[in-house]
Amino acid sequence: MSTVKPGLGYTEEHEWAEAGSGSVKIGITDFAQNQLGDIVFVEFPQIGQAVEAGQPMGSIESVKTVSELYSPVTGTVTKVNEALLDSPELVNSDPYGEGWIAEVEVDGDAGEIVKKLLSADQYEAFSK
Amino acid sequence: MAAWRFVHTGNRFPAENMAIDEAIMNAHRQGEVPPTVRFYGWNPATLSIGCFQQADKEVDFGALRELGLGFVRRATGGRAVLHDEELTYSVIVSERYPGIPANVAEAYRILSRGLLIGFRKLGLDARMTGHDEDGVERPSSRAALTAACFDAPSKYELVVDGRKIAGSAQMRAGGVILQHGSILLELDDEKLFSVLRFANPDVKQRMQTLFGRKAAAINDCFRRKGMPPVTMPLVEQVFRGSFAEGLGAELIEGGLIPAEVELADRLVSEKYANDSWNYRR
Repeated sequence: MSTVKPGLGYTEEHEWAEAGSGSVKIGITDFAQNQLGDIVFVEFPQIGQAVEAGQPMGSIESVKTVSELYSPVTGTVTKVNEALLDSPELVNSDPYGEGWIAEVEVDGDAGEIVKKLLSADQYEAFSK
Repeated sequence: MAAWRFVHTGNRFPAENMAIDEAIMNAHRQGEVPPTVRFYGWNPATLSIGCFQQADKEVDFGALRELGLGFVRRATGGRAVLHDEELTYSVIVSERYPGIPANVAEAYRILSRGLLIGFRKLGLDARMTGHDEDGVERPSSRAALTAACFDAPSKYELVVDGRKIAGSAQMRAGGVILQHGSILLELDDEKLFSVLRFANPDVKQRMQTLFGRKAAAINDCFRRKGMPPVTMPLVEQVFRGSFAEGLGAELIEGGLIPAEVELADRLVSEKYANDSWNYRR
């Protein structure tokens, strides 16, 4: 059974977004990591790269597939989770925590931007 | 019964082979072509590496040139594969196509059913590895793997007598799945290991011995049983039928459409024959 963390924004491509101050932290959902299986590599976007909501920003390789990672928001990448270079399995073990993937600086109120995504309840219903 | 397209594109240049798979994905995404099963081969014989493998670290390019082998980076994951005496297949289908499960491993199982049926029709006692109930250990991290594919059966891998007999890799982009893989008639592990890099000769020797125990080609299996080897035309005929059966589809022979040919040409020059892609890591 996959968990959905309350308070985050979600996309139909199975990413989550957490509002910070002026930025949004991004990862993939527990459902997504379950579907993908053991993750062996995360290809990050470049720091400073402009990303657009709904567009690919990187890739995730699991033992059996390579899947695109889509950005839930529009903005500029400011951080990537370098711990995943050595330990990509963190995405499997802690998708909403230590397995975060990137942080994107957004134009406008991060909280409002995240609120426009699917809510935890909506995503839970969608991924059933 | 659902109608899928079947295309056989013959033996092609490495970059072309990868470009055609991606062009079909694109055309299928646009709704221009039905889901497709493609058969192909390689000219010259080629070493392909996974999307994220480090080329310089894992490939001995001097040895590769000496042997006259081609080289290309795949868009799919996994490790190095030497494409020589093999039938290469690809299956391209939308994630939303009826009967295609969302779960990657499940989709693998469905798309690989044709392989299982095919090996059995050839007379091999093939089976698909399950979760962990068969005792086959799954590699859980990149660190545990060697650079060569075919040396570690994972979930839903095809094995004969515990040896991996077909290697497949998958990618998903824009809602379309591409799974491609190798059906080996012969396996030259000496050649494969001569073009891969290892920390030292001892490691190489150990890996190669291990590989020899874990991987097999169709004709190895027949020779072991004292039976004559099979030929490519027979293998093609059997697997064409078995893919149709495994997918529950009718495979209708067709060709690439002009948009696919055009995009494949562009992908050859802009991506798969380009150093910025092949040596990007």
